[in-house]
Amino acid sequence: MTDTLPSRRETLPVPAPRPAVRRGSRRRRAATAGFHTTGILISVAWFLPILIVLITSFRTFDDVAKNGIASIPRTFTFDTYAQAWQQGDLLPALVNSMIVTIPTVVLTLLLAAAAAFGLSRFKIPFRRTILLIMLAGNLLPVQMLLIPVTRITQQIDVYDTLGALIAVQIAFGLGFYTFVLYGFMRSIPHELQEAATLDGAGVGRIFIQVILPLTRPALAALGALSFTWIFNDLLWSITLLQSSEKLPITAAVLSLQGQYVSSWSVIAAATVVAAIPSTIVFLVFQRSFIGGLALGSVK
Amino acid sequence: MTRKHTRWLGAVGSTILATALLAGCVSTGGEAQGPKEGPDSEGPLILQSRFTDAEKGGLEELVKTFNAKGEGTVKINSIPTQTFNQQLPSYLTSKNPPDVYTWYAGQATRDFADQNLLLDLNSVWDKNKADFPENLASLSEDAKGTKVFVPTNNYWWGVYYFKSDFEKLGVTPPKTWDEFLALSEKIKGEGVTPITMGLSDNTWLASAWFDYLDLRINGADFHQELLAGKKSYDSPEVKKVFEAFAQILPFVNPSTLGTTHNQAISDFSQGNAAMYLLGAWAQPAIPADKKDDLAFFQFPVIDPSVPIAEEAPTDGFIASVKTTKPELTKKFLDFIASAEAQTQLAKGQDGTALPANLKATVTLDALATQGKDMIQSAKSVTQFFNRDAGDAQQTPADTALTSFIANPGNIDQILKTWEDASQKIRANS
Repeated sequence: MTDTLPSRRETLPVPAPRPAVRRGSRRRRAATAGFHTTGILISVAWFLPILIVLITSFRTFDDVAKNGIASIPRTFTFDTYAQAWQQGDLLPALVNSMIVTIPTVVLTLLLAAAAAFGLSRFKIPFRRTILLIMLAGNLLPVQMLLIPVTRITQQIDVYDTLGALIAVQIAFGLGFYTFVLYGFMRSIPHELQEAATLDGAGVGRIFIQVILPLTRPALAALGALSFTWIFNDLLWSITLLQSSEKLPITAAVLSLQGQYVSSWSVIAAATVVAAIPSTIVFLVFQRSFIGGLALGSVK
Repeated sequence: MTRKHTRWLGAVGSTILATALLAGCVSTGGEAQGPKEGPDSEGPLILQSRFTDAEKGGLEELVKTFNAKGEGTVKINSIPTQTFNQQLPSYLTSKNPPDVYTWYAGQATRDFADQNLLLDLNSVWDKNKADFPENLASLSEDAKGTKVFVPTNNYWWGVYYFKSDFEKLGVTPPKTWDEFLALSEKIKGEGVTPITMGLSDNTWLASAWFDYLDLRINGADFHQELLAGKKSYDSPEVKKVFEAFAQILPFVNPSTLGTTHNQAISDFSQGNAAMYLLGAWAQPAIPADKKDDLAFFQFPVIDPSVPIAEEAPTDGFIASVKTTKPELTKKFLDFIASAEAQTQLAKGQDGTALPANLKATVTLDALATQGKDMIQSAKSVTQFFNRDAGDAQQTPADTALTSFIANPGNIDQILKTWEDASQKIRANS
């Protein structure tokens, strides 16, 4: 048996479509090469500005001023980071950013999950209207609301406090997060809830022990997303705060821009520092981020 | 009516209700109140400052000196300049505003004084009057003659160039407009861009050209009336200004609208562009090894019968009328006005500012001496477009000047649009 097989193969005629296969594989190879080249080009275009910021952050002021920002770097220095850290007061600013971001993300997700749970799993009258109004709030341009919200915070004496910033950020995030979580929770089979009800679980228990664990991918994705949004926010913080020691990292980066003259390399260094926390969060949640978003969209 | 309709009506109804509630809250807020009577409240005096980064050093030293005197404590709040400029109206109208602010003299301050938002500083001026020149005193007044501003320093504008570049090109600084045009022609012939401006991120730099051309062609009186809304931008006088501007456009860096100020400065430092009309504030941006080479000349004379006017933008302090510590505010501003404080402040400004107090002693470098002499010999002194016209007028000016640079053939249409926009802003304020 083992002897016959090779001999039989030898006697087989040369398959006719072979050249066609080769041509096909060549085309496939060309397609792969094209795919990768385009991919590389797009990622370079995407990454180039970040790279320029990184390179600029290690150049001296005189080098940038003399040769321009687009030139090949002739100097390498860490002084820019030290300068940014001291002049921009980056440490307290980072702490402020964290004080605002972490409670906001946790509270928004908790409240949005509770709202989405109620709206998606129970026959609440006008639930669609409620959802639409929440979402409609997100359609208004934020700039339109800056002055009214500032005035309200002044009247109720919370202007220039981090608490006001947290409250406003929660209020503005809530609509969108509820909408996303609503779509996600609707896709969880009703049988699970019914089974839990039959086992004697109350509404609160169903929410915490059945629905929340199942929503985890969406929560992780939204958590990462909202962290970057709130951490990178500048508009609300400079509108609602007026004391320099309460300003978050984004405002600290801005404060490195002088009235007339600013050192781009120091600003670039501060930008790199400011980007680190959201990059870490994004990398940690990366997997659930992509999965979670896709899951929410399919019903 | 179907169920769907009812739902939509409900949604629309609740939205309107919510908007009405919001609007109700807003309309009751932000009224001006009178100055506080009686003794000061507790706590430090808040000094809201737009100086950040390297610029804040001098002010911090000054506050340290004041705090050491034991008359009260001042706390600096450094806010990024752009944010500060945008937020100042909301600071001043807020319920518990900061007490003292860094700000610009001229209409920029008068706009707030007209809304009764600024503290009466007559008592500070009474004490220090002798130390300040007469023109700064009148500059610090509101429409009723009340002093509302304490000046700390001013600076000069000039056409900056590098001495070595001019030597290489074989040219000398021009005095008249014709010399200036001939010089630009020659520089262009050598393959160097004669004039640069970084307008993509600092559009307001184009107003410097407008200001100077108007001052040289129509004079300071016309310029002030124009900026105050008493003359119109579509008048034949302003058209003459734009015709002169059109003469130099062939010499301006063709991509000036897409060039950032930083890029323009680096072109200038590398010798790719020969001249840049700038204020003294730009000097620290020049690389250290080229600083000694830097020089400037006075903006050339166009019509010898027009008295020379110079831009000398003045910086200083204003105070909120709502301050709960008027006594400490006045004590602090009294200190700011003193020769001692202004000497100290000028030291922290890299030689790019001239103290307002005549008794302040500073050692001026060559450029500062030249700038000081130029301002003092001028028949009249203006601030700068946005400071003389009011900050809100800067946007239509920027639009007019950039569209002119992009499309110089369209002067009449551009000036008409400018005048309309300017009147609209005046009508709304």
